[in-house]
Amino acid sequence: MTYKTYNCNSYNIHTIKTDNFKTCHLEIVFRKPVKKEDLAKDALLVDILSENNNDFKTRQELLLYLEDLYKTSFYGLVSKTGQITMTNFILDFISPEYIEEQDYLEKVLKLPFLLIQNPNVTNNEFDNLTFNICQKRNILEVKSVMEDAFRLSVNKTLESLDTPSSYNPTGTVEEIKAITPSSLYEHYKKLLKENVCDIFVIGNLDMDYVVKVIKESFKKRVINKNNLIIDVNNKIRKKVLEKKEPSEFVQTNLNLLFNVGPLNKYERNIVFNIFNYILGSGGITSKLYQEIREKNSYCYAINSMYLKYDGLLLIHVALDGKNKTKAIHLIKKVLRNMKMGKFSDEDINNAINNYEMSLNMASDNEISLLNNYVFHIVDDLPLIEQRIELLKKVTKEEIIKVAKKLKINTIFVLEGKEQE
Amino acid sequence: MKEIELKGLNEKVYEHKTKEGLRVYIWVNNKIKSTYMTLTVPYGSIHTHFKVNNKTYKVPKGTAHFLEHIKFNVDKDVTAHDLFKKIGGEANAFTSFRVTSYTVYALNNVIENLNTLLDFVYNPYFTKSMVNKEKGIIVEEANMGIDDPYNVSFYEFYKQIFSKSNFRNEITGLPEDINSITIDDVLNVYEAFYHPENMYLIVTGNVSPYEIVKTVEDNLKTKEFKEFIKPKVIKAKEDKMVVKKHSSLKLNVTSSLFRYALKIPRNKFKNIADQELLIYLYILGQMNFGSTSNFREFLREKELVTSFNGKFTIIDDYVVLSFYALTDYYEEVEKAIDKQMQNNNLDKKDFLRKKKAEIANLILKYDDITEVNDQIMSDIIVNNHIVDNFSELFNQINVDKMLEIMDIITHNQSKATMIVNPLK
Repeated sequence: MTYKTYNCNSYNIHTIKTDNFKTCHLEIVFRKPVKKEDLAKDALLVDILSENNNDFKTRQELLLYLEDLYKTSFYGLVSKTGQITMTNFILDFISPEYIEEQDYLEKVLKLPFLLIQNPNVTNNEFDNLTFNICQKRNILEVKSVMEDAFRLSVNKTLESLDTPSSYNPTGTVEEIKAITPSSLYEHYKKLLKENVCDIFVIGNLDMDYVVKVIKESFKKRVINKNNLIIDVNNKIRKKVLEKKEPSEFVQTNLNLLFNVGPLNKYERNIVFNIFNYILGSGGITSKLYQEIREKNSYCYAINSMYLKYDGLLLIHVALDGKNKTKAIHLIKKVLRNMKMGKFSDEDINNAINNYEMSLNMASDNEISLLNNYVFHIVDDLPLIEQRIELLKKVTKEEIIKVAKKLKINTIFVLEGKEQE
Repeated sequence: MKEIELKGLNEKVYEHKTKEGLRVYIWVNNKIKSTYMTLTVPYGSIHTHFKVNNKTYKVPKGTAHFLEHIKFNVDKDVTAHDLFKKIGGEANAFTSFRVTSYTVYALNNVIENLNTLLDFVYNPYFTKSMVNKEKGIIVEEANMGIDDPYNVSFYEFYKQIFSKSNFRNEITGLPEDINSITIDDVLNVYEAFYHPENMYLIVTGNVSPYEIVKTVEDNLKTKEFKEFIKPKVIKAKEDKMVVKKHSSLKLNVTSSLFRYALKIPRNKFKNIADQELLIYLYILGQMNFGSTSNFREFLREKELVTSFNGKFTIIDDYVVLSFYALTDYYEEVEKAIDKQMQNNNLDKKDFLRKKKAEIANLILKYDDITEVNDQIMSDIIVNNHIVDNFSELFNQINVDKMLEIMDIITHNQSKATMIVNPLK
């Protein structure tokens, strides 16, 4: 596996050459500081640019072209990572060694840049039909959170933070409705001007040739300085916020939110993951699972999620409402035990071994491999091999130290009907 | 050990049957680090009524899934997860309508992981207290399903399509079913179905096939198995017609959801094996209702749907063509589907394009240990053997047979539709 970066002035191309996979993967990653008022437009823009363009006026034309390229797939994603917005355009395609057509690779590589740079626009506005389809879809996506108890309860837990951690990455229904085909086109013009851009390619490809085709196809004229700050500063509360809301769901969804930190780079990238594995992200053998599910049969699943760039830890469990108070008590007890070092060397070794296994398994999947590399560039995250070396050194004292840095922020209960 | 060449894909699968009857399938990829193994029993949620040695058993709905859960107990206060954690394996399991499968991902200690998988699945350790303890957990899992309106409408729709088939019932069972399961139910199922002769092991990843086979042989040698008597699964006779033509529901959805299905007796499609029929149905669905079809472009142009999906498959003794749409105009969508069903598209150029793309996709599957494992499992579920000529089957598809299949669908269908509206 060979990593190489090509500096192309206004963007960089990062390549990972490997013959481990039959597919190849390309990602164009745009980054900018998150702006609450832009989130709805960012999400709608990605959707509309992935739907069709000026060369393929309808979705059907674009999909038939992709099918002709042996079911190449192209899609866009917007995500909020800490306080930056990442806009990714993604292309998955068969490695050219399995294809006889000579111009296949060139056609495939040119496609995403054609779609991004030649949108379906006339008279300075996006095609109305395409706009309507995408707008409707995005509104529905935002509304659909009401159908999903987990997502709804997490959003409600985070919303009182009033920092980028609380922003909905796809905006609100009102914000989406306020967008017009012309205002979206104005927003589109900023995509190439205001974003830092990196392109990532993985596969068994002649990377010099790949870079040549991309350089010919992608004309980004503005150089953006990469001085983006990724971490959100979520303040510690003097008094725990306790909130509850009724719902239509059968189960009660309970969330406990904690501030984490401050952590140094080693703690945030390595130690905290080991701590969290032992606590609740490590599946059925984790302390939370053992206490809440195995010993008391209160739930099917309980998870603790480390929101690294928000400096937060969120514990979520869905259960019968009558067990809510007992569950809160037990979760607090498990955390107290972690802070007091009531876990064994075997727990630590198992966590390290299993975390190492999941990192190694990530390197067996080209999308995971590439994502690790994306965050190596975006956040200076150590590469998989470096992380494996670092995690082997984690000690009990270091785990206790990060455990002690947890401060409870919010307890949110989305009440179910089961208790009635 | 047999080597099965997968024609046109440049891949091979090793097959071996142990003395105890366990079928072992192995696919090797030395370019990656990890290994995935699945030990599967063809016992799923639909098998609630069966006969062994003239004795008939009826177990509550959800028993297969319940057994899957408690199978992880290996001794008092020790679970299989504890054992896998120590050797760096990641174990899990799933229950579907047709099978229960125990799965392990491993990086190092592949042989120890394989031995642990065989040891815990073939360890008949069940107690009343574990049965009681697990009920609370599984009831909460079932409640998660009840809180998902798409899951609820899926099963309600299956209840509308099927009058008696067990496909109409939730895989987990409902809370009342789960609470009625006893240790005897679990033991009866385990003894009848969990025998090597009735099961198969699939190992995909960075392994030596000879080492895998030797490990399995050595492991099973140490265990005692009774003579296997194949249980006879008793199926209720399903009605030809759907239970109800149309229904409406109110659930916690934010957009109206429309479901549409055609039920056609499988025996109307004569002289065609299941696998071949499934390929025809798939291509038929893609050409007429897939994302590149004129039908979908029509739905987009008229802004009739925000989401649309279709699935053409075989369920029990029926072929079921089903669609799902998020729409505020379900009557228009229903008319459009009806019309397309009458005027199925068989554009030759499109037909060839789809064939080419599908063959390319078959090559791609052999890149990922999970997908290859799933593919082998699917082959066994559908055909009871590995399909070594998929690309030939795709190449042999022809227009005449396609027209014949379309004609059968048109003349033998029973239709069901459902509209799900928001509560408020």
